[in-house]
Amino acid sequence: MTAGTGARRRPSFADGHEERLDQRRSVAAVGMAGVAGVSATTAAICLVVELLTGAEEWLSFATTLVLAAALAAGLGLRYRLPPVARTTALLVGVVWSSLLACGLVALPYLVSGLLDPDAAIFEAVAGVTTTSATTVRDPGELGHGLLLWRAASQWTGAAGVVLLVVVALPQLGIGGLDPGGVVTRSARRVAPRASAAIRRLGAVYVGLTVIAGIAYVAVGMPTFEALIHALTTASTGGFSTRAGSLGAFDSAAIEIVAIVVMAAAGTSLPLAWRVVRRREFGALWSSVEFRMYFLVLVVVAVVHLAGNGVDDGVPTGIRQSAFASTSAISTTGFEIQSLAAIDPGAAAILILGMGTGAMAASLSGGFKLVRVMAVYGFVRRELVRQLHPGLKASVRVGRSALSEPMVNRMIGSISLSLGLLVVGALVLSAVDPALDSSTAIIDAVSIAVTSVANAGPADVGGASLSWPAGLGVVGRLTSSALMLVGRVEVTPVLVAAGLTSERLTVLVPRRRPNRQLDR
Amino acid sequence: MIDLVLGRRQVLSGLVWVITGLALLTAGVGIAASAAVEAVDGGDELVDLLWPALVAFILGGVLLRISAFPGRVSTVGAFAAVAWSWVAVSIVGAVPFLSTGTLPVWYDALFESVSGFTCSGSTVLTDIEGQGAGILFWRSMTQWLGGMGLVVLAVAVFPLLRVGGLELISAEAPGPETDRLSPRIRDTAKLLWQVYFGLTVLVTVALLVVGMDLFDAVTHAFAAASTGGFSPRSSSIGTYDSVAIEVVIIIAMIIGGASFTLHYRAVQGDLGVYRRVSEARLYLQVLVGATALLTVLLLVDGVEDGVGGALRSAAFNAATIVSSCGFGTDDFTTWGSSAQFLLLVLMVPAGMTGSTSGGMKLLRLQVLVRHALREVVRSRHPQAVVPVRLGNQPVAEDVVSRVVGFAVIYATSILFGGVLVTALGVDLVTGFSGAVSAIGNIGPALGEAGPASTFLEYPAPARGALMALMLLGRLELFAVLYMFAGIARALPRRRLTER
Repeated sequence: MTAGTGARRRPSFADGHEERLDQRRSVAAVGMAGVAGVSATTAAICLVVELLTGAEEWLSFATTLVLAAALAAGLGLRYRLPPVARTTALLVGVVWSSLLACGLVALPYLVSGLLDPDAAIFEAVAGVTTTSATTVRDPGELGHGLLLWRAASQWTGAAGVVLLVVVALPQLGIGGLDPGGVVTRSARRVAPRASAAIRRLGAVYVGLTVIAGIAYVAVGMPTFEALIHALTTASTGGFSTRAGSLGAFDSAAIEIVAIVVMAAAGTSLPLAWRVVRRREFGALWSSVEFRMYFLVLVVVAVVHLAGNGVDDGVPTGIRQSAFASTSAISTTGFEIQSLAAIDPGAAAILILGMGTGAMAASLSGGFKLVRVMAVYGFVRRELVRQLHPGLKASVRVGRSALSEPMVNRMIGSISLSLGLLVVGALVLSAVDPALDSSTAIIDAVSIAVTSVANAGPADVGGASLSWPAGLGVVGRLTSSALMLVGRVEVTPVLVAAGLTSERLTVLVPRRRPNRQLDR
Repeated sequence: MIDLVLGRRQVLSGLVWVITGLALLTAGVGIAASAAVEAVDGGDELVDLLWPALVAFILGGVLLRISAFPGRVSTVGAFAAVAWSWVAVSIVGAVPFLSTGTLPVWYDALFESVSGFTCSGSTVLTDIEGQGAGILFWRSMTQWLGGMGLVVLAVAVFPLLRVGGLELISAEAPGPETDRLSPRIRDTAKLLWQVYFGLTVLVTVALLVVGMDLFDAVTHAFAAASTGGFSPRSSSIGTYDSVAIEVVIIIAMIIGGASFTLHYRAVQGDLGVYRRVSEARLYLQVLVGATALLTVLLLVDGVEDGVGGALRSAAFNAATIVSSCGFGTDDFTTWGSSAQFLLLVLMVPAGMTGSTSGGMKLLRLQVLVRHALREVVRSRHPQAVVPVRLGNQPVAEDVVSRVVGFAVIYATSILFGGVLVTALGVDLVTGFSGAVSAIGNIGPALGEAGPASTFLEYPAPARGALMALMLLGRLELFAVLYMFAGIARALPRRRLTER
C-alpha cells in the first residue's frame, strides 16, 4: 500500500445501520447467554460441594445459580446468532461477555460478604483472566465451595480464552494471530470445522487437567487441593488453596509436577493435539515457536539461577529456578519464593518473561512468543534494508513468511500493550496511596506488567503474594481493568468502546481536505 | 617513511581515518583551550593539560596527513566513521582526567569522557568543587564539542543515511541539509555551527546578566546548548537558588532540545516554522503538559507547599528531562512514585529530531502512535487504505517501517540493558532507569543514581554497560550496530553518491 495514492473509502452510515446494531446486540447477547450458562453450571456444582462439606455459603451459590440461569435462559431464548457477523459485532460481543463473566464470578464473594466490593471485583477479574493475584490473604480460611468457585473461574476463563484465541480472534486477525499465519505447525488448523476444532482442543485441555490432578494426588497432595491446583495449573491461573502458594507444600515432587503441567499449558493447544492424538512427537520439535519456547524457559531459568544462587544446594536451586521460569513464562504465577525477596536481576528477568508469555494459541497470557519472533524478524529485515533500501523481503518466522498487514498488526498490538502498561503504571502510582512513596515506582510498574500479562506475582515491598490486599480501592479497580484489557487485548476494547475509525482519525491525524487524496 | 611523515604518500584511504583525525585535532584545540583557562586561573595543572593536547594534536595530525578522503563513501563507511571517531575522541578526551589526577582510574576517566562527548551528563566525579578550573572547563568542553558534531550529524548526516526514518525531518520543513555527504555538507555544517555558536554566546551573556560569574556562565552555556548537563558545581543549578538563572537555563535547554533545522530557518526570518511543524508543536505540548502534571503531582504529594515553588520545580525538571540536558535543581528521587515514573516515561522519547537532545525523539513517537492506532482502525475496516500521517503529510510505508524498526530496537536495548545493569548489582529502579537515562543521553537516573548522587552507585561492569548504551543511543543505534561491519567489510555496501 503506497500512502497517498489510493482513494479513501468512505463507508456510508445511512444504509444498514439498524441492521448492524441488531447484529451487534445479538452476538453480544448470545455470548453473554453462554457465559451465564457456564456460570450457572459451575454455581450448581459449587452449591453441591458446599452442601456436602459444610453448607456455610450455600446461599451465595444458590443466588448466583438462580440469577445466572435466569439470565442464560432469558438471553438464550430471545437471541440467535446471526448468520454473518461483522468484526465489530464479534469484538463487542467478546468485551461484553467478559464483563458479564467478571460480574457473575464476583457475585458469590459479594453475597457471602467475605470480601469488600472492590476486592470481590478484583478477585473475579483475576479469576476470569487467569491471573494469580488475590485479595484473599489466606485462602485456607475459605470454604470448599468458594475455593472451587475461584479455581473454576480460572479454569472456565481459560477455556473461554481458548475459544476466543483459537476460534474467534484468528478470524478477525486481532494482533496478527491469523489462522495459518500463526506460524506453521504449532497452530495449523486442527479441524476443518470450528466445532470440531473446539472439541479436539477441549479434549486436550480437559486431558491436561485430569492428568495434572492425578499427578498431584500421586505425589501426595490431598485430593480436594489436588483438584483445585489441577484446575488452576492447567489454566495457567495460579490461584492456590494456601497462603504460601505452592511453596507452602514444601514438596519437591509437587513442584516438579507443577513445572511439567505449567510448561504443557504454555504450549500451543493445536500443537499439543497433534502430538498427543496423532503421535507426531516430531511435530513438537519441528515447531520453531516451540523450540523458542523451550529456549526461553531454559535461558530465563539459567539467568534466574545465576542471580539467585544455589544456597540450598544445587538440585534445590535448579528446581527453584525451573519453577520460577516456568511459572513466569506460562504466566501461571505460582510462587515458591516471593519475587520481592530474590535477587533484583533474577526478578527483572522474570518480569520480562511474564511480559513475553508463552506460545500463541496456548492458555498463557503475555505478548506470546510468536509475536516476539515476528518482531525480531522485522527488526532483522530493517537492519538489512538500512543498507539495501530497495530490498524486497518478507518477514519470516521459521520457514513461513508473514504478510505485511499481519506484521503491522502484531507490532501495532505490541505498541498498544506497551502504551497500556505505561498509562496503567502511571495511573496506579498516581492514584493508589500504597504506591506513592518515593521507592514504590517498581511496585507500580511490576503490578502493571503482571496485570496486563495475566501472571500475578509482583515485586512489591516484600509481600508479593498478596499485593492486591495492600492496595486501595482505586488501585484494585485499575489493576482489574489492566488484567481485563490485557486478556482480551487492547484493540477489541478500543473498538467496543466506540473508538472506531472515524473518531480515531479525528483524534490522531488531523483530517483536512487533502489534495493528493481527493484527486 | 619520510614520505609518510611529509604526507607525500597517503596510505589510509577511508572516511573513518579522515574524520577521526579531524575529531582528534578538534579535541586537541579544546584541551589546549582548557590549558589556557588553567593558566589564567593559576596554572597548577598546566603541564598536565598541555601534554594531552599535544598528544591529540600529533595523533590527529598524523592521521590526517597519512589518510586520504575516499572518492566514494558507502553507508557502512559513513556509519563506521561516525562511530569510530566518537570512540577515539572519547578515549583521547579521557587522558586529561587521568593526567591531572581528577579521576585516577582509567575506566572512570573514560566514563566521564564518554558521558561528556555523548552529551549525557552522567558523572562519576564526586568532588567537583575541589578540581582545577582547567579540567572543569575541559569537562564542559567535551559536551560542547560533542554537541558540535551532533548538530551536523542530526541535521545532515543521519537523515541522509535514513537512520530510523530520520529523513522525515525535512517532511514538513525543508532544512539546510544537502543531498550529498560531500562537499556541500561543509557549508551546511558552517551554517549550523553559526547557529550553535550564536546560541552559546547568547546563553553566556544572559547568564552573566542574571548574575553568574564568567567561568560558570561559559561552562553552563556549553552544557545547556549541547543539552549535556555537566556543571562545575556539585549541586548543579541548585547551587544558585535563583529564579532568574533557572529561567534562562530552562529557555536555553528548550532551545537546545529543539530542532536546529527549525532554528536555522527561524534565523533566516521564518519564525512561523515552529508553529507549522507538528513535531515542534508536540514538543511544546509535552513540555507544557509535563510541567502542569508535575506541578499537580508535587502539590498532591506534598513535596512542595506553594503553587509557585511546585511550578518552578516542575518546569525546570520537565525541561531538563525532555531536552535530555540533565541539569538539576531538586533531587527528584525523593518525589512520589508517580512523578518519578512520569520523568522516566519522558526520558524515553526526550526531545526533537535534528537537535542535540537524546532519546528516541518525538518524531518517531508520533509515527509509532499513529502506526499503532491505524491497526485499530484497520481491525474494523480491514481493507481501508489509511496512511500514517505526520502533520498532514502522508508518510511512505517503508519510512514507517524504518521508524517502527528503530523504536523496537530502542525498546529492546532498554529492556536488555536494564536487565544487564540490574543483574550486575543494583536494584530494579536504579538499573532500569540507568539504562533508560544512558541510552537517551539524559544524565541523571532514578533510585540510587538520582541528580543528588553520582553514577558511582553502579558497579564498574555496570558502568561499562551504561557507557555502551550511551554510545548506542547517541549514534542513533545503527552507527554502533554497523561500526564493526565497515572493518570486516562483511556487508555489501550501497554507494551513497549514486543516489
